Amino acid sequence: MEVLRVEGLTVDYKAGGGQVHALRNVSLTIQEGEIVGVVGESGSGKSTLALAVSRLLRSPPAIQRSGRIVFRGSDIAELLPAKIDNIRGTGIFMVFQDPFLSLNPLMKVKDQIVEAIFVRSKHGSHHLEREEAEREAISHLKTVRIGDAEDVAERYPHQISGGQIQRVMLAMALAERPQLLIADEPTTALDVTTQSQILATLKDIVEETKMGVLFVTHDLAVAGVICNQMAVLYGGMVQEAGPTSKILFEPKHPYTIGLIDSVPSKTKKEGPLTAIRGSFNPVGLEEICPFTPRCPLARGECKKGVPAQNTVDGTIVRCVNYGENYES
Amino acid sequence: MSFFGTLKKLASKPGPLLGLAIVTAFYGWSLVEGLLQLVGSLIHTPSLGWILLQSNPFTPSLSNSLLPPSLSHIMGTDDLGRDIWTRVLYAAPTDALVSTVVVGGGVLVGGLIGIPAGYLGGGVEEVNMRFTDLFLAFPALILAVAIEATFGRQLIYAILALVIVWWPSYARLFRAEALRIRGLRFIDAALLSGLSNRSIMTRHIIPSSLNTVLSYATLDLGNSILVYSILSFLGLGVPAPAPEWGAMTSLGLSYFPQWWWYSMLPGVVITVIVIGAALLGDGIRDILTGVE
Repeated sequence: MEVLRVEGLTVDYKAGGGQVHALRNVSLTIQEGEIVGVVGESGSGKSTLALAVSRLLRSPPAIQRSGRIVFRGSDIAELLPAKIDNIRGTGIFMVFQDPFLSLNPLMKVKDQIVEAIFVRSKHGSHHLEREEAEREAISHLKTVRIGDAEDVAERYPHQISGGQIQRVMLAMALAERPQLLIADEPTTALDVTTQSQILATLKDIVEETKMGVLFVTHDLAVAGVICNQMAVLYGGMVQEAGPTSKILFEPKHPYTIGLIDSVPSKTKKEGPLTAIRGSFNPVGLEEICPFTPRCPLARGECKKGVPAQNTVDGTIVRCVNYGENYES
Repeated sequence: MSFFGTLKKLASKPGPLLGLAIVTAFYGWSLVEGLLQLVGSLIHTPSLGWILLQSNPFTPSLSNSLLPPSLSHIMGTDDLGRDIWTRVLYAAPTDALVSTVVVGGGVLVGGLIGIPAGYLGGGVEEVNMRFTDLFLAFPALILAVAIEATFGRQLIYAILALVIVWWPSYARLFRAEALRIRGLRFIDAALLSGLSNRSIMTRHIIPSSLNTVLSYATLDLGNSILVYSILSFLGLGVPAPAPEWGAMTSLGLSYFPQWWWYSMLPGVVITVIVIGAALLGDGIRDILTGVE
C-alpha cells in the first residue's frame, strides 16, 4: 500500500530579494515497508524535501510553489493546523542528522519516550498507566538493541553516546508507530561501525512494523546498503530514480555515474579516485540542465531547456542523452 | 545538577559564597521576623514583632536622640532616639516580601506574555511584544505615584506598581529564550511526536529557559529592593512610623553630614543586600553556563 506520494513538488526559498529553487518538480512514492533513499550533495534540496514532507519547513523563507504531498490519501499541504497534529506522531516521525540536538537535554531518556507513548495513546482509545508506559519504553529500547536498557532509560541525553541517541530516536519511532519515518542523514554524525549497526536496526524495524521510510543521505554507500528505491537529487531535481540495484550497477545519468565513480571500491585498485569537477552553484541554471557546468558529456542540447524525465529501462532519467525532451 | 550539588559549587568560591551567605541571612531573618510580626498582628500583640530585637523599634526615647554608633547602639540612634539597627532588622521582612513578589510577579507575567510570543511567533508575537513595549514606556516612579495617589498609600499598591513596570523585561527575556529554544532540533522532534504547542511550551520551553531567567532574577532581587527603597525614599513606601530602609535613608538625609549614621548605615545595608544578590546571581549564572 502506498504511504507517501510526492507529486511535482516545487519549493522556493526567498533570499535577499531573490528566490532560489530548492526543489523543482520532485515526484516520488513510498510503499509500505519500503525504504526510499534520497541521495544528493549539499544544496541538492534533499533536506528541504525531508522538511517539506514533515511540515517542518518554516515559511517564510520557504514557499511551496506547486505540487502535492499526499500522505494517507490526503494532501498535507492543505491540512489545517489542527489536522497536522493528527499526522504527526502516529503519522510521520523523523530522526535527525545531529543526535546531540534531537533530545531535550533536561529530560531523562525514559521520560521522552514515555511522552511519545502517551501522545500515541491519546490518539487511540486505550488508556495507559505511567508504569505501563515506562515498561513499554524500556521494551522499545531493547528492541533497538540498547544493551543496558534500564540503565540508559534513567540517563540524560548528554550521558549517552550519539549512536545510543539515534537508537533512542528509533525507539521513539517505535513508540509512535508511524506509517512514515523520515531519516535525515541519521548516521552522518556517527562512526562507521555504529553506523552499520544503526542501519541494521532500522532495517529490522521496518521489516517488523511495515512503515515506509524516506532516507535522506549524501552517502551513496549507505543508501546502497539500506534502500529499496533511490532518487538522486541534483539542483533540486530528481535526476535519476529507480530500484537501488539499477541505480548502483547500471547508472545512466552522468551525475550518478560521477557519484559512483567517486566512491572507493574494492574492485577498482589502480589510479587516483575520480571526482566530479567543480561545485554546485545555482546561479544562472534556472533554464538549463543544472548539471551542465560540471558534466563531462555537456553539449549544446543541455542548454536548450530543463530536460524532462524519461523512463529508460525501469529507471527515470532526466538527461538529454536519453531523449531530447524538455520541460515547458 | 542537584540542588545540593549547586549549593556546594556555589560555596566553593569566595564571591558566590559571600552572596549566598548574605542572601540566606537576609531571607532567613526576614522569614522569622516576618512570621513573628504576622502572628503578632493577628493576635493583637504587636510586641511579638520585636521579641527578638533589643528594643521596641517604635518607642521614642528623646534623651537618646542622634547618638553615634557605639556598642549599645551599633548603628546609632535616629532623631527620636530609636535604635537604627533594631529598625533595620524590623524592616527586613517588608523588603524581602517586596523583592520576592515583584521579581516573582515579573517572572510569572513576563513568562505568560513572552513565551507564547517567542514560540508561536507571527501575530501572537506582534500583539504580545507591542503590548510589552507599551508597558516598557511607563516611567516606574511616576506610575507608582499615580497608583498610590489613586488607591492610597499601601504596601500592596506599591508592589502592584512595581510589578507593572517590572514584567516587560522578563517578557523580552522569555521571548528571546523561547525563540532560541524553538530553533533546537528537539522541539522539532517533539512537534513530530505530536505534542501540542501548549505541552511543548510547558514541558520543553519553560524548563529550558529557566536557567537564564533564574540567574537574571537573582541579580534582579537586589534591583527591586533598590527601586522599592527609592519609592520609600520619595515617601511612597510604607507609611510612618513603620520603618523601611529607603525611608530611613531619606529621612536621615536632613541630618547629614553631622549625624551621618542616620542616613548612611541603612543605605549601607541596602547596598550590602544588593551586592549579595548580585554575587549570588553571578555565581549561579557561572554554574549554569558552565564557566568554571
